[in-house]
Amino acid sequence: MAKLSLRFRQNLLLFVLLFLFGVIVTNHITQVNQLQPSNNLSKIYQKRQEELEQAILQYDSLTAENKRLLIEKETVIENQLNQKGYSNLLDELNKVKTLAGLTRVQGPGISVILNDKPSFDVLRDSADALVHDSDVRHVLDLLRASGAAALSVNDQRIVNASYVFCIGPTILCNMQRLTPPYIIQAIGQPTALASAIERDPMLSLRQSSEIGLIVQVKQLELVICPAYAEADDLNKYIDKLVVPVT
Amino acid sequence: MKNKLIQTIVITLICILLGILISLQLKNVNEDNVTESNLEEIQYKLIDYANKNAELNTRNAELYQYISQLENNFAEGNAYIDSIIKEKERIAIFAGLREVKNYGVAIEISCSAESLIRDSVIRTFVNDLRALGAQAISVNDERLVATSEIRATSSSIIINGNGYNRQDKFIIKAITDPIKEAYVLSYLETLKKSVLSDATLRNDQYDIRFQAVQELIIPALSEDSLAFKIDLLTAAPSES
Repeated sequence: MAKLSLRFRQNLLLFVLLFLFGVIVTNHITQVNQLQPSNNLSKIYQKRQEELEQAILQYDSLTAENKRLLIEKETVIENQLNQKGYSNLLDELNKVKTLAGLTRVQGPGISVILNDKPSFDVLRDSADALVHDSDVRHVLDLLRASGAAALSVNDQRIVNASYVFCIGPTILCNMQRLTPPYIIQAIGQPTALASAIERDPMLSLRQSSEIGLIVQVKQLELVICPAYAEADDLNKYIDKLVVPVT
Repeated sequence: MKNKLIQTIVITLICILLGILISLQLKNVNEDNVTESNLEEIQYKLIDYANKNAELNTRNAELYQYISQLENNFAEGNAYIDSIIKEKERIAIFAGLREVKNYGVAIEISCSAESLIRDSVIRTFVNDLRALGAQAISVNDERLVATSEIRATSSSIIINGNGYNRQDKFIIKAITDPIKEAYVLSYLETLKKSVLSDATLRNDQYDIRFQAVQELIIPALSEDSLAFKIDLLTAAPSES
């Protein structure tokens, strides 16, 4: 009886295993057939990802080369003008470049960090808990109104051709996609700049515990605003401008 | 004894096969996470980087050429000065230091006699004109630069340190691409409707008119303008 029972148990186990085996094999075959296009999709995705990584590496290397060439150009011009005694022209050129935002500048100022509410929940939280392009523009406007002499957003220098606009979840500035946190730097009187941000009613409301947007202001003795990255490519921003002949 | 051994081997084999199948199944489920929208997004990024790289390649080639031209001209004589002066002029135009003219759009904004024009309305049009690719913008003939403020006080709107009466008409001028005329005008129409339908502005009875102008003149901003505040800036050491 005991022997029969053991054999019965073995057969039962074998039956269960084989049954499971059959179910999984059938399911697997069905799924493999269904996933054929999806597998292709994932292979294409993987390939594109590799291509993107290569493209980003190339972009970094080309950007570094561009920076090096710009410095080389400046050095050549400076040396030539100094050697030939055109120091006035060199001074004028440097001043115009500074006014245009084409030079790296420093001075006292502030840094403003705008960030989405931590652990933002799309179902529970208000859209006001996210940083929008209009918020970045609003902060820039407040800083301009308080005497900012130079501005940058995530290391993108704000110049005459700059605009801040949203593209999906990212913000476009100087043709670069930026993602939060947005670090806005301004050179100017630190107390006046900081006060403009801290006393702004809209930003105060958005920082309330009900909304939770992050706004951090730091007064700094030294803020560095980078040079406009497209200093060698101004033509596309001035090609419609005709200077009247006097 | 022999039967038992066979049974054990069969069960072991089945268990191994089951394990393999389950892991394959899990792998399939993971691969299934790639959607067409993920793929589309990565393709957009790829195209974006490909365009940027092509543009940077061209810019770098031009820079090499310009540097070598400068060095050759310097070796040969004075011609290099002309190219440096031309470069300085291009930068001055970009900086807003030169009066400029061309095709563009003019926008007139006024409101009822009992109301005051709001700085936010002016800023809305200016921001959107920038996004539309305007190469030069002025408000009441004040050339706007990157640090120009448009700020309201009780009776005036301050632009580049100069005040303009909030009860007067404000005129925004912008030099834009004539090829984009239809798009720019339709965009401005939408923007106008959006401003006029804003509940907070309804009582002010805004009157907003705009038109394309074949040739409009936008004045220069003086180097001494309050908008520049160059005295607050010093050259920063280059990154290394």
